[in-house]
Amino acid sequence: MIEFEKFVLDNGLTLIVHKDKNTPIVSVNTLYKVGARDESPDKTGFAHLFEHLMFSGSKNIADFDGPLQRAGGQNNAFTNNDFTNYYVTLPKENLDTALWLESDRMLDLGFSPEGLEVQRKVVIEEFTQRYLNQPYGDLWLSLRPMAYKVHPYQWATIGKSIAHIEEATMEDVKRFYSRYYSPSNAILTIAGDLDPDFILDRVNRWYGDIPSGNGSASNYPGEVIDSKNECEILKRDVPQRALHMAWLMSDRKDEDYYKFDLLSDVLGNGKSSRLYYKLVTEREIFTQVSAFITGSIDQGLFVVSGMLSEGVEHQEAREAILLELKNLADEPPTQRELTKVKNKVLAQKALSETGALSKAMNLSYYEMLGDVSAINHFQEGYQKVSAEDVQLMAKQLRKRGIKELRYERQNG
Amino acid sequence: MSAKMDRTIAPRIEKVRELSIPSQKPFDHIHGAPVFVVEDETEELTKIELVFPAGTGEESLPLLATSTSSMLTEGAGDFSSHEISEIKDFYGAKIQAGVGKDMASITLVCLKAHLIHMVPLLTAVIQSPNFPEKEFESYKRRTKAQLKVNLERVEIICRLAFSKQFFGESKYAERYSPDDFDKIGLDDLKAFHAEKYRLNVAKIFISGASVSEALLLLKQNLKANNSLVHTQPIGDFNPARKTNFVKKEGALQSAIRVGFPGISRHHEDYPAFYIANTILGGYFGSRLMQNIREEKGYTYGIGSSINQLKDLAYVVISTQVGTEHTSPTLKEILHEVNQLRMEAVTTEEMDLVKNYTAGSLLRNFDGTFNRASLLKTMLIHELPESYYPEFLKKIYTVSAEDILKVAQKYFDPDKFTVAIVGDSFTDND
Repeated sequence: MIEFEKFVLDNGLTLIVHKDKNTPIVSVNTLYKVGARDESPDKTGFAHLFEHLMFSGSKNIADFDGPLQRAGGQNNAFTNNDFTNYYVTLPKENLDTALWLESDRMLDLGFSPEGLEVQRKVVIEEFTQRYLNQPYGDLWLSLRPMAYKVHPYQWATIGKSIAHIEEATMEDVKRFYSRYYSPSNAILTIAGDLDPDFILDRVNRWYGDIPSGNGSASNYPGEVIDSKNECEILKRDVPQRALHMAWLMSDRKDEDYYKFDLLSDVLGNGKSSRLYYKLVTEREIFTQVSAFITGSIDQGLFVVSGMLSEGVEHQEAREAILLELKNLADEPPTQRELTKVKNKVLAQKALSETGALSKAMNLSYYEMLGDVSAINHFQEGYQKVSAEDVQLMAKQLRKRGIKELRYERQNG
Repeated sequence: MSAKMDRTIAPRIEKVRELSIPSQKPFDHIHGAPVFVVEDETEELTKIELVFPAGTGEESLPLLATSTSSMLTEGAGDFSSHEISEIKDFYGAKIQAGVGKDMASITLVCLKAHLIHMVPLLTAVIQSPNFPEKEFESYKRRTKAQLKVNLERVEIICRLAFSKQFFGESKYAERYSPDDFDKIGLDDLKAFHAEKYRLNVAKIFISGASVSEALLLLKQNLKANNSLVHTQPIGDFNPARKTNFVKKEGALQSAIRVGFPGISRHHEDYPAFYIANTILGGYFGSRLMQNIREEKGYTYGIGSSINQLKDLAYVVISTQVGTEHTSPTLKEILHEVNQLRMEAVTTEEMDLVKNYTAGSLLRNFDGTFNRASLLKTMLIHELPESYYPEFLKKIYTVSAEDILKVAQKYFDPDKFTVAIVGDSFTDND
């Protein structure tokens, strides 16, 4: 149970405050409701590149990091397909410094051309380091366009290609900023040992005069679920074959979301799960295997990923996975399995909420989904799920097309 | 709305004055192992950690320490490997084994209500592992495959290349290859476990909720098992002071590691040494990060860290850069080190780094589990309760002159060990 207070400023900025007496640090988390899905297909990777530019100075402050570090603070940010999240932690006595910096870059950015040039290079190195110079690093660059034909989830947050990063212009930066970076499109969450009324007053002072902005309703075309299988083979210089299978599932707000999540846990979360026990421990087809869901706001993916044992062919590995899925479609999971995965969801939530910053991030996330109070009721969606519901999801998946990606060794 | 704020002026900054250090007095003892406690009834979770002198520095064969640690959960007492994962997963609990160069630790994290089910499993794993044959073969097969994948990554190849050059024949060198799995047997694991995982050399940390219950359960389930533990001597530590290039065909980026010996937290130069490292590469605003990422755009990240081992300390600067930036990056690293040795740091930069460092110290007190982790560091490195409050005070008194002195004394390019792994590298200088 996380206690919080929620306020909405006149300009539309949502403020959530969590009082945490157990820390000398205050966490300031700012979530902007914009992610890679809001990019146009010919300018991908932009939301993330833009995140880097948020540190290159704002209207009244030449540099974001310096003044924050001087106040004993640290910060970072991440972008995903749905949203962009910035966070600052610093000694609670210096809250004003964080609010000053965050509110100024919400008011207006510096738009420094040098900043754009350097961050373009930094992001290209990030692209290379994380996606191109790692074994299997290009997985999502290849799998996304197979799974999504019309929805903007078809590209990864880093972008479709380095060329898109190279082509971004200052004009694009400005347009993106004015469309998405405004109070009405942001959720500010503050967690620390400070009085909520005090925080509200400080936030009003720093953010109150920022113009509201237009908000940004996003509505993207849904994928048509069909039964068409697709398979792509990537020949790479990798030591081991790998197999990834993806199916379209529901969106985050659908009740089926919880059912698919539990199905993925029964199938492939942890060493006691069916896929691991049967296919790694007993049959030794894989050296690693897991099932998970992507958890995106719009239609997500249900994914099974495995690393093949030496000498095992892709066809055999694929059939072994499909057999386990079939078993769950034929017969529901046992009560013990169902209790296990529900327990796990509860424990994982508690584990994800140690420390004020993670609480602040989770509060922002639930508010973005539509209602912050859901953070204390999230388990209800899971409790309702029956063994037959899980079985039904397995049945549904079996009728849906499989998007399959095989890594094959380049040299035999 | 209230009075308008002046956005052109930075708000006043408060200095960090106080740190509330958790008590180092053992709360209790179990068969010779001191138990330290950081209690917080508002938490839903309980964490129990046992630390043993069973790190990689103590192993007689490559991969022995990590194999022993990983095999603990593959069958213990009456529990089979599958039962261990089944029970663990059923309660959504974590039992994690971790291995460092000096120490190995086993940690249980679970909802407080599940302690009664999880503690007996934890103690069986620690004290009565069965090391079954079939599971060991499976472990080797899986881990070998994983290692082969890791050895395709430039940062891992570089880590090993650096370790070989820097640690040489000393006990801290990381020397292993996938074939080493074929050279260790179950008897080696059993002997290593029997000698190192003993309560008379362990430390126990309990944090979060239901501490008393956790303690009682541990007392009921842990059996006395003392042994005479010898820790290995450090061996021949004589870093190769040269640049070594390892070719990785087709790599798009080079991994770079630059390292040199450092000093321990007990050394009188340590506060200035710590600040000097922070200025060079210890935070986002550091000179290396500003120059090589934020001005030149050669990398996604670069950093310099101080590593404290039981018998020695060392500094490593590490990064990954586009192949064509390899040589220029090395040049810039040297440039920044020389700047630190030659030119006094401005008051502005000194103030910023001191405040930043104080804030980072304070971050160790952020929540119960961070405080427990700080307590562990202090006890393992034998730092007195007064250590951090005094360190905080000393930080504020470090002068630009002190930085020059420590930079000249310790940050010496003639003592650098450099490892580079990538597709190509030409040393222009």
